[in-house]
Amino acid sequence: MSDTAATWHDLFANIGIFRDAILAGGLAGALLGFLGVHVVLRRMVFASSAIAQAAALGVALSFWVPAVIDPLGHAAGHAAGPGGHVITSPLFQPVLWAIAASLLATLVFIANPVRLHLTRESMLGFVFLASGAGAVIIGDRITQDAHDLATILFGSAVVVQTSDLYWVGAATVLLLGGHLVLWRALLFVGYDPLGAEVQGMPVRALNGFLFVSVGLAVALCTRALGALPVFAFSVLPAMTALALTSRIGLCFVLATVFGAFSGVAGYAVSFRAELPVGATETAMAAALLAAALAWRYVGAERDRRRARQSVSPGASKAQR
Amino acid sequence: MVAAGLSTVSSSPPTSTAAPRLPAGERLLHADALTVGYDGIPILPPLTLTVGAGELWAVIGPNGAGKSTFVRTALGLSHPVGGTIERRPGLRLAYVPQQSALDAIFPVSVLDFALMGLQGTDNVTLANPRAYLGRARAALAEAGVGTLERRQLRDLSGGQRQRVLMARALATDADLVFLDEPTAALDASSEQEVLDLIQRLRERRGAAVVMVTHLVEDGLERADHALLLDRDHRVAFAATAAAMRSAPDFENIYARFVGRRAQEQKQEQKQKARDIQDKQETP
Repeated sequence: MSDTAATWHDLFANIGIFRDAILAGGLAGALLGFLGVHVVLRRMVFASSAIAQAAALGVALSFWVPAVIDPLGHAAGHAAGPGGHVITSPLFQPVLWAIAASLLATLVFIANPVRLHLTRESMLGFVFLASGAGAVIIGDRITQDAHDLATILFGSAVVVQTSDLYWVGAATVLLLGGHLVLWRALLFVGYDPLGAEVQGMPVRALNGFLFVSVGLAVALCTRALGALPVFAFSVLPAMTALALTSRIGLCFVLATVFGAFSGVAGYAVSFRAELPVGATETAMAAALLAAALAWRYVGAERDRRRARQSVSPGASKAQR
Repeated sequence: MVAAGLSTVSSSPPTSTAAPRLPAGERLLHADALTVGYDGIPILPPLTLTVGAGELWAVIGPNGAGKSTFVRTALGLSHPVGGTIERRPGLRLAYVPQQSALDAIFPVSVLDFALMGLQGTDNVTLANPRAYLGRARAALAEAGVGTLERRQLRDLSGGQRQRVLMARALATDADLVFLDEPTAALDASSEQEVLDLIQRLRERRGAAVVMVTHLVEDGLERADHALLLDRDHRVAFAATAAAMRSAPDFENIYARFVGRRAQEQKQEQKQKARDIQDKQETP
């Protein structure tokens, strides 16, 4: 904690500095919240976690590989200071490595490991652990970039690069647009894949679209925000929506709104309370879920009480 | 391999018709020396059969007999290991899954489920669901579950849920409907309602129905044709239900491996139903 605590006024007074990070949080929350409904319903929650870890490994590799290939040039970049530390080759853009690693991890969904006598869940565990271990080991080898890597892994990004905001914005528009058109089709093939296939639905293409879009969204958002909030946004807002309503269309709307709210409000609270950004955004999404579960519990108890009273009104009078 | 001239499944927007679209007995699906299996390895001997419009077939056999593999092949989702399978050009197919195959975590309303019956090759996105509400509601009403359209499928009783599943098949307006264990775990009255719906599919719409069941006696009671499968004893035998009962293969398999257990299960189910009814009637 600093001596002078930040105020809401400070946030609004310096909104120009924080605007990109707030927008990125809101957009990522909205996109991942929407996709999260499919993720949760298809019981692939840990897929987004594994993909986020893979994306983090991709970013770590994007720092480490140039240092291995051209150690002198990389060190000179550091010596020139933050402004001089420019990645010259577009090949080593972290976002590209994050996308590549995420799409590789996404292949785990599409591949069927049954012939290896393994389950998809166990393969996800493999991806998660191998990626996490790889990111930590590589992070140890690139101490000069360790702060950047920690930002990616734990989502402590106070300021988001404008280019990352553009990537997240473009992904939100394109992927969310596609999903708005295809949500009923994806629901059908997720709920009853055999029935959908018999009726001529392009099941493989639709599943491929879903998996690739989750991979891309997670990769781009992980680069901008970090793995922790990305995993949180792809699970918690959808769970909150599913806890509050049984109307599937409304679920998608609520999950999108809760995700966006968690991103924006989480950032604001982290600024005001001087807390880590990614963890605060995650805590915000978790708090919404806890509130929704409490609301549902209270409602269910009330319904049970009413049902008991309606079944035996005489009994309740007698008790009195 | 699939025969030349084999049609693909058409999912053109169905037209709601009360009168049978196809003349009774019109050939919808023909399997000739068809061998089903995995990875090129047959699991059943070759079988030949023809499914005609309006017919009710029962695919019977114990668990693990190869029923699902046959159905997947008949539906065109798996390639035959040998022989040919031909479908009538423009044939519309529908599949009604087992209730247990539908994940209860999905918040799908009865109306949403019926609308799924109107999705297909030519209508993947169902971009304007309101245009299809009338047909979905008509199918639900025909299945006797019109008043449940706002309810969640997962919250319904087994009998209600099965009727909603049947309503989706009605909404597809399919010529050939595959039902996976449609009467499993239903009480007697719900079972009868489902059987009435199957009859309606056949008579009013002219659809052929292929019903998969592990309850051999049930299947033979209701169907006019049967396909007996038993992977362990290398049996794939198609005949009319009456001919099936008198066939030596059936007698052997039914008595030795299938029927005894199935009969026991059936007796247990009926006894349970009677017990429940007795309890309800006891003041």
